Amino acid sequence: MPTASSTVRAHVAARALALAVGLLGACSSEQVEPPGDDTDDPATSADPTGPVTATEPGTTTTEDPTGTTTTEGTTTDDPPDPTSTTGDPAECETRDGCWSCTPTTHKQHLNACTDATCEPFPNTKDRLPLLEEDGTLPPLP
Amino acid sequence: MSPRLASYVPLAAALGLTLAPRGAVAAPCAELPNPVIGIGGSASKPLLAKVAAALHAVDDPIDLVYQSPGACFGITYFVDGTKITGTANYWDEDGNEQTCDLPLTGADPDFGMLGVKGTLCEGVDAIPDGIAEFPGPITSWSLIASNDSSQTNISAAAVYFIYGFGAALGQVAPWTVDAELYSRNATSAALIAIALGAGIPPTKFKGLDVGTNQAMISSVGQSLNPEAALGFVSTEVADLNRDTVHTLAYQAPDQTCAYWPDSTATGFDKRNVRDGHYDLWSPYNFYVPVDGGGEITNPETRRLIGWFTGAEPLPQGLPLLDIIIDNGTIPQCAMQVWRDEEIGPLYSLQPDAPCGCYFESRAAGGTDCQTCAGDDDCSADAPACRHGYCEVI
Repeated sequence: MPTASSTVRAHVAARALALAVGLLGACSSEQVEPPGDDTDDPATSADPTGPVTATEPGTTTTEDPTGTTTTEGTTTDDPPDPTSTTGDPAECETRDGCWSCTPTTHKQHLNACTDATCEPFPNTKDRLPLLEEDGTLPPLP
Repeated sequence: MSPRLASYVPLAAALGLTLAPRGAVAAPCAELPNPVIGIGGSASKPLLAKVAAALHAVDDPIDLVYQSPGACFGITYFVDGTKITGTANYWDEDGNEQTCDLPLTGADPDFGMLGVKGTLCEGVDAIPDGIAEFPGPITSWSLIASNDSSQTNISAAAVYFIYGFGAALGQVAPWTVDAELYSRNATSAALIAIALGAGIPPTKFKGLDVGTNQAMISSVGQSLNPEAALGFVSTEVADLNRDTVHTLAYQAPDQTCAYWPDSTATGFDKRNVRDGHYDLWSPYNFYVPVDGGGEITNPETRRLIGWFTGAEPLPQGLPLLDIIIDNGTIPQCAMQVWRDEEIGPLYSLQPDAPCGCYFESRAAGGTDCQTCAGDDDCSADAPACRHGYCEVI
């Protein structure tokens, strides 16, 4: 059985890696996502021109640099079939970057389409100056 | 107790956290008619206070006694086999908090209660043989700002820089003032959960240790530099103090938007916790001595914990579901997602007897679910009438 400290270290390392990977997606204005890499990530595949954040139902816009945009839901003008369970990103990811099919992974649960209010936080170098140039997190001091 | 954990004891005592004897002004806890003694974090204390008051109304009442030096103390005493001393709290039938003295020779805790898994506490390599873990109601954790702050959201990456580097070094405006970065020590469940969420080792978490949830509210809420002030508490404590602080929407790794625990910044429905949009949540875990068959050894503790887990039928006079909801915590029956690791991967959950509709009606003051008096009133898509509402199953 692993020790608690090693368990914590492993868990923290896994979260840090996930966070770094998430940043790579969220900061895709500075990134070029390799084709076929992590295709169930709505943040990276919703719009090839850059990050997309919703501003109001049925509309999208490029990322709000202030990070204060409020959105009521993440619906689209023509939402995919919510009963679909194929898990095909092309079928399940909306233009707003939410997951419209039944979520089966952690990331899909986090990004499932909802009418709950949300506010995107811009994980950009403007907002987080210590981000590495490639969008990853530097080690802790 | 690990040396580092032991180092927190004097601080806890200085903060009035009842670890050290403070004079013979309180009655002995052992003289209460039917004491069950628990130890753990301060986040769960409001819930236990409400339960303790209600326990006076059941047949064979239980006197719930609780000492709250920090979440991790809820497991370390079982790991070390030491006894708890000093003073503890109990509650009368009106919910008024009272203080009693534990024996000078110490008392064995009947249960520990943590907002995280015990193995995440420093010095706890494994849950000892003879101790079992029972998950209870769900709490979420809130990063909070003063109501005089304009900030409304934060991300895991921002938390990594702010609490991992320190406010000034982290350079995440406006949270760049070290004196306004409020924290706890590594025995805090809130700290452990938020640290895990951001990928920071709990022992490397920066900020000023304020000691308790309530001190955190005061420090952030009354800050003279409110735009720079940042702290964290359990969401139920944040909800109780919405007149001075507000929860920041939180954006987890891999998430494209930041969400509040509730479906709106001002709601109380905890919908984003229940459906997986708000990542910072954990079940409270009870740690209890059990026999070789896994049964809780102390019969009174078995009753108490069994009411939380459903292993024991609820007695008349104990509306535990309502108490859990009214406290701002979430019963497992209202969850639609679950996780097996602390702040770990989410998966869909279908509770045995869902109560999401009732939860929303009671917590948020309304629900779109159909009311019912029996299953015959419900349609096929939500066929089970439970607590007055048609639930999915």
